[in-house]
Amino acid sequence: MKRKTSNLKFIPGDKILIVLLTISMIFLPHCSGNRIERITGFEVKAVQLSKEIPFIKLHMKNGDVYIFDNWKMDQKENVVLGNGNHLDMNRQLIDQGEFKLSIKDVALAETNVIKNSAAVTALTFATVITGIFTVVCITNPKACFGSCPTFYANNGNEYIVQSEGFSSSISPCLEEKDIDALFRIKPESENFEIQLRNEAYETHVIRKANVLALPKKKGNRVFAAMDDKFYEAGNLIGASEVVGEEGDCSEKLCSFDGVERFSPADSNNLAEKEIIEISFNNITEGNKGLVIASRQTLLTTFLFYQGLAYMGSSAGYFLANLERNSEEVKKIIDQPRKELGNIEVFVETVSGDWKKAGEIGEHGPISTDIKIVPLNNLNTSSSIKIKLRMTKGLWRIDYLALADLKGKVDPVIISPSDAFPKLTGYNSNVTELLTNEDSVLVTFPGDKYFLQYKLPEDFENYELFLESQGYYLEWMREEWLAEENPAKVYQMFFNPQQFFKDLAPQFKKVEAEMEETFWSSKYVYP
Amino acid sequence: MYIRNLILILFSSILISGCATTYAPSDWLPNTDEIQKESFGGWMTLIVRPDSLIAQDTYLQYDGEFISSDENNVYLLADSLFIIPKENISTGILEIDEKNSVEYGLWTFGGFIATISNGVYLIFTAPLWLFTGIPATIGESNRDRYEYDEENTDSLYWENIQKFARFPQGLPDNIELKNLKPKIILTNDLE
Repeated sequence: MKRKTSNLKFIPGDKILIVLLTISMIFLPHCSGNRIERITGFEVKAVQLSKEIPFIKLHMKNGDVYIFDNWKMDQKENVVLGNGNHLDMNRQLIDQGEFKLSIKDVALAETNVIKNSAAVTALTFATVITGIFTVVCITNPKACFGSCPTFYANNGNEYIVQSEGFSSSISPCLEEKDIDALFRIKPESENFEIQLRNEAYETHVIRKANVLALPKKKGNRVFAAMDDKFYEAGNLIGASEVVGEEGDCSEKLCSFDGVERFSPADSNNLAEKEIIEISFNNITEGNKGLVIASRQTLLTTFLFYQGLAYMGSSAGYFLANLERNSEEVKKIIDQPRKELGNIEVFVETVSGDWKKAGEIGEHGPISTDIKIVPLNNLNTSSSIKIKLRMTKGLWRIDYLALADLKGKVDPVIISPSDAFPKLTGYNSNVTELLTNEDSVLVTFPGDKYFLQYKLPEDFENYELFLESQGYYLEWMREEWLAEENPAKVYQMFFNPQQFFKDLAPQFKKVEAEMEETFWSSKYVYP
Repeated sequence: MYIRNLILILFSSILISGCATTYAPSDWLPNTDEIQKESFGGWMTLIVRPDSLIAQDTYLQYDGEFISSDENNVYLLADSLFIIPKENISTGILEIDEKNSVEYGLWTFGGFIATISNGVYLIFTAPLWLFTGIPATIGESNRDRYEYDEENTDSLYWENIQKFARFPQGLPDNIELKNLKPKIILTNDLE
């Protein structure tokens, strides 16, 4: 074929995506090596490699070629004996069968070595890895899917997850406000940035994402209580002793460092409670508060997804019903949540009785939040005893401390001043969506926004919190439909005590694996 | 959005960046595993300088089965035999076998999509497909191709590729070039 051309170059594309080309350039030399090694020789013996390569092509002086499947040389007679095809110069078949060729008529002998394909090896490897994860996720989908609206802030080195917004707001009528401390974040200037991400198969509807700045004196910190009041506190001291079922665990709880105390869930009842006893010695007089940094284990994630799985194809019906009869249904769906409860704080009184001082409860397994429970009616001795009562296997506690309460403080509310990207995929202004009470920012899996805030000039004298408001819609997944069970849904809402007992063996089967696989993924680091 | 972007990047990169184009007619080249029994030469594409000093004359592209080469000429067979002086050849490519890059591209795409079933682990398995699938596909399309560029290729090029000719021993003395026939492409298409 002959044709005119004005293009001297062969085609390889001229538009190159830099990143992936770089990747390709790294791997290309290893993957694009040849697979076909053709060996030729003027002597037949030169191409006799091994029994694994029985083929040989003998190119004859007259242009014919013989292709033998198997062959041998007879050196005495100087001939090649073989079984195969005889082709003419146009490669038309002349004859096939057994042949005996004189070596002097052979112009060139040829054979080929076909190497294994590196590409197939690489793709098979990726297929096996993907298959393993698919099997794991089909076996235990609740460990693979799910998180909540997540907010990241820069701690000076990297963006770390700081907040899970409104984790229990799974429907529009359950929209709520959530306040999370940005305790480990130390802003370096007035210009403060938070990264908002949607990292789950969920639709997030975010009405607000404000930073709250709370004034504080040097050396003090500010903590939020469950009633959204803020307390300035100082002189934090660690517990002298913390005793759980496993014994003294005070070492794990003496600093906010990611080393957490948690226990396995009960084998017979997922709502079974446990007690942790805490002692503080050598305390001074004055108003005190118990500081607790905690987050949930994956038990609630499991229960939430199991609940949706039991709803199956009726999940939409339940959620629609929730919207229509929100107050009534809210009470019903609150029952299983109440059964699990929060971390309750009891203080020993002068008379030796135990009095409930308050409770804390941060929803969600990803972000550790730090809160304070004011302790009233303390005895005046130099030591104090506290008990924490909570559901076994539901809470991961990172830090416990007793603090001197200095008083309540009010926040300066700071709305985002700018965002990157400025516009959503539908060309709406992100900042306006988050500052206007009547609008919401809707995000889908993979969406990411940088929100910018202008802090007060003396930003170092403020403690920062993130106030988020909104709700999210879980995406139903096909593998959940197999577990549809209306009776279990009824039991979950109207007899949660029995529901948690019945479900215990199922959870215990996956508990260890669920925690291990979820966190070993380092999907997000708490 | 993230997933859509990744898919876009994946395909853009495979289609645009590294994949080499094949110039051989469809079904002309043998599959890799059939190369042992293949008796035809490889498929060669040559860009040849015009044999004139007239500026308007354009370069010519010749395609055909690599029959053989000698000290001065390269012999290609398509509908007819072309005898091309080596000194006029600017660039060239010799292809030996059919590549599976389309299959590997689809395999990569399918695997990439399948990572949706990996939940959060998708953040590991999806890039794994990009890191393995893209180089594998590009590598497949680029292997076993022998490229010639008169400015950068050494003088042994023709000697090295001679073994992939129909007549690696050189043109037999007794044959009439005009009697050489091209390979007939056998397809399953009844039409």
